[in-house]
Amino acid sequence: MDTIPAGLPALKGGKMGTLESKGAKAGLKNKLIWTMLVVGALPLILAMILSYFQGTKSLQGVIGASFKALAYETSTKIDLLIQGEIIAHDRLTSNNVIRNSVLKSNQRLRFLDSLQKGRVLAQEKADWENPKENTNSLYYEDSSKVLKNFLKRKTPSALATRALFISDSSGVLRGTVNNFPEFITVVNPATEKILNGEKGTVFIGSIYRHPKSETPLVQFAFPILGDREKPIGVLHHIFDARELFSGSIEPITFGDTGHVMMIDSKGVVIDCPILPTGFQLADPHLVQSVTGPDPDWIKIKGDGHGGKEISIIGFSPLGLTREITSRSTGNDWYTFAWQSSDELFAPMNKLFLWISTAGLVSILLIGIMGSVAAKKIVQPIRRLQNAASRIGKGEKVGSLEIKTGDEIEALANEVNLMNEMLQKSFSGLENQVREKTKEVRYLKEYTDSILMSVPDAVVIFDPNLKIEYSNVAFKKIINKDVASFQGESILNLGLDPIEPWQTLYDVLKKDLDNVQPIATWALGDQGNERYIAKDPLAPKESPSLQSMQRTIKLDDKIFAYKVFDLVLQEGSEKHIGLLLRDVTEEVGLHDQLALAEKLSGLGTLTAGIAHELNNPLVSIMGFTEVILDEKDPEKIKKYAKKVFDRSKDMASVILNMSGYIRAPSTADKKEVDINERIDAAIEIAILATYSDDIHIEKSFSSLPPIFAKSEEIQQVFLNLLTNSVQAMEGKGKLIISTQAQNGSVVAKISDTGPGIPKKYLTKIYDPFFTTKEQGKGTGLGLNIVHQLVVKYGGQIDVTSKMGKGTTFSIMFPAHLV
Amino acid sequence: MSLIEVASSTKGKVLIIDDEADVREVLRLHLESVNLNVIEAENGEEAIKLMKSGANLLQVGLILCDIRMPKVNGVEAIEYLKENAPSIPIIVVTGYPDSELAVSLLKKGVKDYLVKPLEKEKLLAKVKEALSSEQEFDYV
Repeated sequence: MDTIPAGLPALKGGKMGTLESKGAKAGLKNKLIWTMLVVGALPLILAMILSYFQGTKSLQGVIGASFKALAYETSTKIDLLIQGEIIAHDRLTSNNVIRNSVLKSNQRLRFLDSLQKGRVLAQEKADWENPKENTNSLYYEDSSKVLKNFLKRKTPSALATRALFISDSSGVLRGTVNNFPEFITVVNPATEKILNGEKGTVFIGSIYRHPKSETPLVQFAFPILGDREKPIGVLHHIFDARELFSGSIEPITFGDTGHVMMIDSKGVVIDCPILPTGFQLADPHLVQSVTGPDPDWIKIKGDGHGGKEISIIGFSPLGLTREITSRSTGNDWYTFAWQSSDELFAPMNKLFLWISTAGLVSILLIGIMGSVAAKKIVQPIRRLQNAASRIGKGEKVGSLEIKTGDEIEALANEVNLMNEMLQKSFSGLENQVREKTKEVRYLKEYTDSILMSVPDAVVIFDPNLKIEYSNVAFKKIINKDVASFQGESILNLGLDPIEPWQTLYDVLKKDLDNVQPIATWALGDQGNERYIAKDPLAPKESPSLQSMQRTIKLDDKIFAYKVFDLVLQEGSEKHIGLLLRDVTEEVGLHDQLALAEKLSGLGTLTAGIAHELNNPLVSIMGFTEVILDEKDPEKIKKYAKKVFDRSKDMASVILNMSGYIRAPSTADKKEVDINERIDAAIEIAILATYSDDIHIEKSFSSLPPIFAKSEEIQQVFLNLLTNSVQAMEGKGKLIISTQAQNGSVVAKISDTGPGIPKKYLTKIYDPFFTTKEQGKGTGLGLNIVHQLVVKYGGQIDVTSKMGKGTTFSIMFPAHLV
Repeated sequence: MSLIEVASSTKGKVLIIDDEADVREVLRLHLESVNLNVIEAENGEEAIKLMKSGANLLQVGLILCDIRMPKVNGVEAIEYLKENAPSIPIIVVTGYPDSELAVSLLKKGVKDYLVKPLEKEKLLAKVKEALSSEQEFDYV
């Protein structure tokens, strides 16, 4: 019933599951069948074999016992037969006629000398051998008549008789029923034995063959006793051995071949329905085995009838007769019951056949029943397996209905439970996944919208400098409405002009191997400053422009750019990011800021100016007032001189200030020759020093122009030169050199001043930092120089040795046309 | 006012602290014209040294002090002086017109805040005013 629903999905679902489970599918059933066969059939076979052997053994025992009984019975029968004969013959020997005949003969011969005896015996022998009609007295003697009468009994022995005769003590024939015997039988061993033996001695001879007829004969001899119980003659009875015993032996047959036979202890057959009497059994071992002292049976190889197979032979000695025979000839007589092994073992073979058949049938039955049972067991297991494999594949599987009422049902229930729980947890997982997906999507949208909303352009490059990501701001900058630039190089976007992008690309390429992680790119903290009373002209920090160092001009707009390292995943290839910020306004603001800084809050800058001017002004005013009240012309002249000196100082200060304050935004940028600007700056600087003690060494090279505002460049050099001249306190040497270097212009200004202490080297660009005495510097000079150099993308370096002098070297990028 | 009186009077002694010799000379000429004794110091450090030596700490009637000076500047010098000789009036004479600094210094007990360049009459009026007022004792 459940084969069909279970089988169908197995076929359907088998597509994927076949590889791993096909081999295992048929295994359980076979295993079960085999187990049943082994468990059921092996003991069965063992039991059968055992019972076969046991049966065979019992059967053999039974057969042997019955053979033994048969042999014994036969032997008893023959014993009785022989005893009967002995008794009958004993009676015969007591017959007076017989005795007298023997006595008479003995007496007659006793008185004859040997010559007469020989003659008489020869005569009688001749008469016996050549009988004349009615003259053969022996036949007609009374003794012969008695003998003949004796044979008239209708007994088997009478019929088997071949000769019956008597002989006297000399062995001379004294009566016979036929002419079978010799006349003188002295040589007969029986005669000797009996005549010399004791009373009652009976002789039974061995089987021998009649010289003429080849008939196997056996001789019985009985003593004829005289007056003193002394043997006086012998009664001989010769039987055809076969005829004598066959009546007792040959009728006993069983089956087709079973029969009893009689042998003597030498293995000579006395009577057998098959073998001829007198036949010598060939196997001495067999003969020895079956001629034990007591009735028994044996299982032996060979049967005495030519067969070589195992046979069972029952045997029994002739209990009474053996005494006689062994005394007579040393031989014992035995009966032995035998059956041909084929027939004998037929029942055993039959038993074997039955048992094997039964075994085979049982095995077959076990096989069939096992198969059925295994199918019954395996079927639900297969359903379970199928369901489990479907569950494993994540299919939705309904509840399994297995009602076997055993462990399999319990297992099915467990599987159902497991399935339910799995489905529950799966659905839970699905929900989680859905939620997580939602979260991820939200996060992505969130990040995307952040990146989209950021006014700065963000571009992420892969290690081959192809664009991996760009935001809206970037699209706005390049002013191209393309869905995605992914996989493109910035050089392949068809941008015009390409030069700034090429510059940017080169920078990216250079930075690809040497970028700083974005984390390190942070602006310094700018805490709120609380005002405390201090020298306002003391050095103070101002926001550095270094973070905006790198700028690029794209379409009339100035962008500060920053390259940062992007660690996407541990061990992934290096990505770099480019951040572009529109700093056009900031740059403008910065210019204004620079100005504003110079004019800052009247509190600082005007203070500087005021201080610079007010000090000489104090002197001028003061001395002028003194002059007004003074009468002494010498003193007046002296004070007037001071007024003039101080006025000159003021002029110098004003000159400095004017160059400093002038707003740089008034002029436009143009190509500027550095050499020219340096010359101009030298003029002003020298003028301002009022000193004749400065020696100037110039070594100018021919230079490419730079692109800048002329006044600002002049300001840079003026400030530096003023600084140096002031440092040398009007006495010393200025060495000024310029040269072109790798697309840059480099100017060096060295003085022979006292040098800058190392601890000040980092502070010299700070605004209002000064080491000069009151009135000799604003503290803004080098700050302005630094700002301007940075503004034009240049660099400024300073080296200084105490007591030897200071060298400033300034680099500006050359303007490439 | 006899010479001895003048010489012994603390009220007639003025300490000028300024790093520029010309400024000191002008101030001295102005003050001497009204018979005030003048002692000079080139900067805050020298002024403090001067005040510590001898009896000057008590005998100076007025201090005129510049702000921007090398070594020890005016602000630092005033802080020291106000701590150690709070009774001596101090007038700041600076070429540096900063109202915040002025307020801050006045709070520290500076008598007046004069901005360079200054006329002789104005200077003398302020000096007189400071000298004629009662010596200020430590009321802080």
